[in-house]
Amino acid sequence: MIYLDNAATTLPKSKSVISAMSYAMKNCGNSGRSGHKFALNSAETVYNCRKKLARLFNTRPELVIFTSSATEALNIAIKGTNRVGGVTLVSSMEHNSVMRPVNSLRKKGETVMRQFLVDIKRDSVTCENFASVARSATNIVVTHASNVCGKILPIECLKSVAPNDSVFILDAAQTAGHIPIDIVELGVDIICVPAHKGLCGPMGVGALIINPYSDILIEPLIEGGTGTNSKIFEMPEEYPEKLESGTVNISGIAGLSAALDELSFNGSEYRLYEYLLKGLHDAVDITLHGAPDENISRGFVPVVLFNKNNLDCETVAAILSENGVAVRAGFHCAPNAHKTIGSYEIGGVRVSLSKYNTRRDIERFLKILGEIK
Amino acid sequence: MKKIIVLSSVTYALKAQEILKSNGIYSNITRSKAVRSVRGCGYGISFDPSVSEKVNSLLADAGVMIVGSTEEK
Repeated sequence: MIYLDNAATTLPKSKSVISAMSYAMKNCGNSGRSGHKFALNSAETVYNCRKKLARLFNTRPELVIFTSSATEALNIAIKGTNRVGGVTLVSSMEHNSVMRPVNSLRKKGETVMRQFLVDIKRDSVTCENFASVARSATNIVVTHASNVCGKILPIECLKSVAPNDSVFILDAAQTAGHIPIDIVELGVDIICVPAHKGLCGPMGVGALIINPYSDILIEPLIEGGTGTNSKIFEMPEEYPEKLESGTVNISGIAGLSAALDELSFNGSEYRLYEYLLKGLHDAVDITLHGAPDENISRGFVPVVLFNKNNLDCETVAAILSENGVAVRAGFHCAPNAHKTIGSYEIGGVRVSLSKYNTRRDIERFLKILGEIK
Repeated sequence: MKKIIVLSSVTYALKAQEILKSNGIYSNITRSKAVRSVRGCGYGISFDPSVSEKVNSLLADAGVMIVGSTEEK
């Protein structure tokens, strides 16, 4: 099988990830709950992973909050920092992991939702669109890169014109592990990431990462046991425990930790992305949506959306699957992104790469795609 | 006799232990009775009392909040 659905989750998981998870299942107790060797082994496993993520995103280990997914991290960030009566500003490329929690706050009368239009070709226009509505924003939630077409948003530019007292939350579900991200350099308050996409870890783990220079207060969504201050019925004030009640996914975190040891930004998937783009641009019966004009991958993560003329996208994906190619068709939980790039009525076929793909994968995919009539 | 300082969580206990280790101070993570007496369930680190002043200073510089301190035989 040629696996080209890495924006959903990367496959395969490496041997060291699987081995670390297996080791944790056999040897890790509950982190932060006891003083015996199994619990301390677990606590050290979790702390080591915190340190690795902190180094990767340039923050402190205690400002790395483990969650079950990027979606959970986004829910904590969005709802835990919401200012009732304020304005939440989102981009036109957001995934439902942003749109649904913000819309839920809107329906309860706890925020006003506004949206700015992303221009796929011109970052300066995106920035102007943002600036024209940003003045009243108290909370800003923006995807770093679209899960539909891979477009990276101009975050530095947006941040530079955002109100100083607004909370800026970045959904890095599609960029973490694909491009280096420095939370201090970007200047955003919170970054939310999944373990299982570009970071190549297991499913069931995400992280909420806080800027060490940010003074935002995040209220917990979930309250419960933290293994500390047991006689007190309030949640602890300190991160990470304040936002991390209940048992964390130890084996998942162990797997992520192993995946982080293997992470590098050597550009291999970008070389394949350019080759893929060229192949799709050259095909006469392919319509690309939201892709770069030429086969230049700068400003994008390796994700492409296309349609094969006159064929339904789910039909194309099914034929590809029958021929050993895994892709994802439909609307990718991001209807507004499809509206922005003109594929809202028909959806599209999404191809997404990882470091595990090879040039032969792309050659075979293009050949099989070309044979579909 | 061992000096024990109580930290707010296992995360801070591990962070404190790491800071001390990088400064040549050996410590142990503990959930002893002495820790419970300060804040209920929690974690602390135990070390030789002769380095108490240095430990306090190193942890303060690193922004690690000390919840309490005690001694244990």
